[in-house]
Amino acid sequence: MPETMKSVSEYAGKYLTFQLSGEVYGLEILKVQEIMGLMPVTHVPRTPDFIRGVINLRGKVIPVIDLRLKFGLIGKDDTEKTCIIVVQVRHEQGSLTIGVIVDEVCEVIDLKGEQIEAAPSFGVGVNTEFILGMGKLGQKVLTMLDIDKVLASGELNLLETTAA
Amino acid sequence: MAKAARKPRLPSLRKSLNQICEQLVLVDLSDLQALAAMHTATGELAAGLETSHGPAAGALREAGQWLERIIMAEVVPAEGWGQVGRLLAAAQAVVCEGADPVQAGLVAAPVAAADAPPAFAPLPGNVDEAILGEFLARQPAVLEEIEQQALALERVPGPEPARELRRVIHTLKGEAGLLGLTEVETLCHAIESALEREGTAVTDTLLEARDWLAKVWAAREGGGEPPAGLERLLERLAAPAAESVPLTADPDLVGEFVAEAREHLEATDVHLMTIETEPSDGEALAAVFRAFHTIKGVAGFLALEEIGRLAHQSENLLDRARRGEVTLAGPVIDVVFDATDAMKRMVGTVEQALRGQGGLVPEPGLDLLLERIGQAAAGTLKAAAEMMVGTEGPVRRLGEILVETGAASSEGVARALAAQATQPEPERLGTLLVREGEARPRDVVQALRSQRGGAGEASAPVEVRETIKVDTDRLDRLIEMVGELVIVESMVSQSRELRENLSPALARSLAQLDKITRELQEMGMALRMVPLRSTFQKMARLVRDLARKSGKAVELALVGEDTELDKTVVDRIGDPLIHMIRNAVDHGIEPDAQARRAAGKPETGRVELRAFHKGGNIHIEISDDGRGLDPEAILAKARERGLVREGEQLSEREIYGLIFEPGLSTAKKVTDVSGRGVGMDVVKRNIEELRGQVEVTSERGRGSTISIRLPLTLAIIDGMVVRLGGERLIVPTLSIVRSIRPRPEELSSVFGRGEMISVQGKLVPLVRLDDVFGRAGHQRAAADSIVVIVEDGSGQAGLLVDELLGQQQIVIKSLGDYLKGTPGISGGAIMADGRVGLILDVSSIVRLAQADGEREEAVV
Repeated sequence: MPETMKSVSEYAGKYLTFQLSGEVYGLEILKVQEIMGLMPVTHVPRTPDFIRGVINLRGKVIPVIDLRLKFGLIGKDDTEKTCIIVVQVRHEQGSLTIGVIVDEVCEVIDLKGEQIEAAPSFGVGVNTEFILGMGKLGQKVLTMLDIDKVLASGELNLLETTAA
Repeated sequence: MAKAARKPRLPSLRKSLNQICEQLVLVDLSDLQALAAMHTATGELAAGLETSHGPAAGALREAGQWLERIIMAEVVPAEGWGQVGRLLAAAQAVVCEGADPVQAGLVAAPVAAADAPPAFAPLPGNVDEAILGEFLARQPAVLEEIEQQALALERVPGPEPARELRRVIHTLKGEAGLLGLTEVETLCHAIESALEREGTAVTDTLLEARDWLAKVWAAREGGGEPPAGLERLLERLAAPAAESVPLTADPDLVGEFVAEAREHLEATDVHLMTIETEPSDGEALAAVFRAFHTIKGVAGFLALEEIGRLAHQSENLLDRARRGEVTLAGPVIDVVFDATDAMKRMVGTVEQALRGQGGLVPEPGLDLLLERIGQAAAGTLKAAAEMMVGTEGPVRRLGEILVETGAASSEGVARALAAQATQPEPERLGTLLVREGEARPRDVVQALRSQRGGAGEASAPVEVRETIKVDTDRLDRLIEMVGELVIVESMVSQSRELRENLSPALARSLAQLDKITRELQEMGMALRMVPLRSTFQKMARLVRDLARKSGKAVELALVGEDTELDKTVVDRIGDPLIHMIRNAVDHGIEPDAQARRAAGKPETGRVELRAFHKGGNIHIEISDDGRGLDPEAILAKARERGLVREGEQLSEREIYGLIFEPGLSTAKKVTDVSGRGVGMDVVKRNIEELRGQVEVTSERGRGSTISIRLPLTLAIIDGMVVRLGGERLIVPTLSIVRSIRPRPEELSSVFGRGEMISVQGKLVPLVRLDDVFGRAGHQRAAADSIVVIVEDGSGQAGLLVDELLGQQQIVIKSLGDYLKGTPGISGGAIMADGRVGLILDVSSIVRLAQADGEREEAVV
């Protein structure tokens, strides 16, 4: 299906790859603001489990999401390699700065159009709604995340209903 | 065809037009000679182009007029320059490039009369959404200025404020013309003509025009229908006013008269102030008399009838004073001051007429003034202020000025005021101060002068501060970054690695860095601070309208409009203020003058709006000298509404506090402005949202005062840092009643309602935050905890915490959209170690605790 191919190859570009529970994921580099080591996180009560809490990012308070819990993976103790990737996500009212906790940050890669395939409709432990496409890197395959959708979708509303 | 006939000359004309356009870029605006040369050139060109390019010639002539105005310093040079540029460019486009005159925007130069609406085609590519948007964004400020100037004009009629208003209207007219807003242009033109014709215009019509403009802008922004009513406005503006009289006498003689009169009047001011302090100074009195006498003589000779009348009447009064039949003190000397001021304005009008700017405009309010002078001479004058109806400008008190300039101590002024209050016939404060040796005469005179200067003369040069408008987002971003800098700075300078290797030079540099960072932070905070002035001045209009509507005579005094507050607070304090001012005018001030007279008060009601700093807070007070609150009526009403139980004893303060309860209005009569029982509760809520407090004091028959206390900025609160398990939480100090270490006998468990603590005989429910937050926490016994009693609108609760860590100023940080609305938490704060502490939202915690309790109850 050439049309799908075309729309998927639009996602060609630089990606930051990271590991979560042994799998490799990619984030559009333009969404990434910075990467920082894990720091003490202040837990905010009455929020969903996957919200680890808030941190002080140079004077700004930003929420931090545990991506493992968000994706329904088994939680794991933090290691030395555990990182917070600070991303800028789009949101109806503008942009949000959010920290994302991942197991390990790998590298920045350049994905070409032909290396990208549409997301399979099933067979991955992740809701395909959050996926831009699959990137092929030699033998390995990485999941390209649509971070806007991951962080700004349904769950936010869920939070709002809890609040109400 | 005419073009063909003139062909031989046209190229040279084109050439000189191009030359002028080039000069536009090169010329220095302060180079008057170059400007004059351009003026001549445009005139010649216009003459040459008259037959071939009528519209272009018109544009050139108009450009010439603008140049003239720049040279005469009648307009802001840059503004006039813009007009010249626009007109020349259009002429150039038509003449040299053959553009269509309509397209170039020349056909409907603003000379067009009001009855022939110019079909103003927008300049090609000139008017796009962005330009219009930018124009509209500036309009609220312009409207405000129109309103202020119109009110100023009413207060102090005269050529100066009128000129100021004309400037504003003229600019607006020009811009509206550029943007093709024909209706607005027509209206502005009519206002301008009215102002030019009368020197002043009816304030009501001006204000109506302002409101009409506001509707136009609203319609433009919202894409709605333009408002109706323009014709009526135009008609009213076109109504002939008092006719101006042309100057008939010999210009040379008149010129001499103006110069001489000025001199006399200036000397008069000084003499009057001497008399003010030394009523027995015969020499000064004689000098004042001579001044008016001379003016009278010359005015009669020059057929300046009005000036003659005023001088004559004043002379009569002064003559009686000279013969000791009238004492120049109190209201009488005020009248002489007013006469001097009016005389100055009238001489100013003569001078303007002399320069060819209109005829002699009658001085508004002259008859009233003449009458007052007559009364003064007859000894039947009441206090001057009583004669004035309407709004009163910010008249500062003599005592305040003296204390401010350090000429007298505040205790001294207070002593003198107290002495004044006990006198059967109060002396003037200045006199008292001098006699008691609290201040030197010279200082009093100076203070008096500055007081008069502030209230009376609009012609005093106003210092224009340069401002730049900045996007709020950008500003907030800057402040945020400064905040980040502050934190990083403290992290760096306090880092252990650095401290261990600290050389004296490095230490010095660090100290310097620290100082600059702190200054930067303070400045950042100051950036968001704006003066209350414009909010306060809006109230002047409100009081005026309300007074008109209710038929009461009310004056509004503004004090401390320069007090600065966070922009957000200033924006949001307007509505509550409007409510309270309405209440003061509508309910506070007695409905008729008789009632006031009977109560021994001046007939004109007084509402005072004050703002000042005190103890790290901003205080705003609204006081009126009206009837005051009726505690019994309030209490009766509250009982009727079930707000207070029968037999419950309340202090006066608590009773007054009841007026902030919803649904409590003691107004006997519902009017269309207030008294529907909504208002004060909304006021209280609005102010509490701004983290402020509001309180009423009142004295039956003497008036009431509403005091508002607001934090300097919304971004900082006082907070108590408490520890709970491994977490630090912040409780806003404002909501803490007290903190106690409970004794076992004070604690009790009430079935179905959980743990309670008895505080001064009252049972207060205890709140375990871990339960409220729905998490498993350590459950320390209440007796081992510290109980922080907090209070919100609905009641008290005791928060169980492990330890109080101390009180500090907390910079509030939002948790962001992602976590907005988290129950129990109102925000975050960066603690000293760089971690985030959560700020408790007390009222939502109390609510949550109650809800949980009820759920448990239901289960039981």
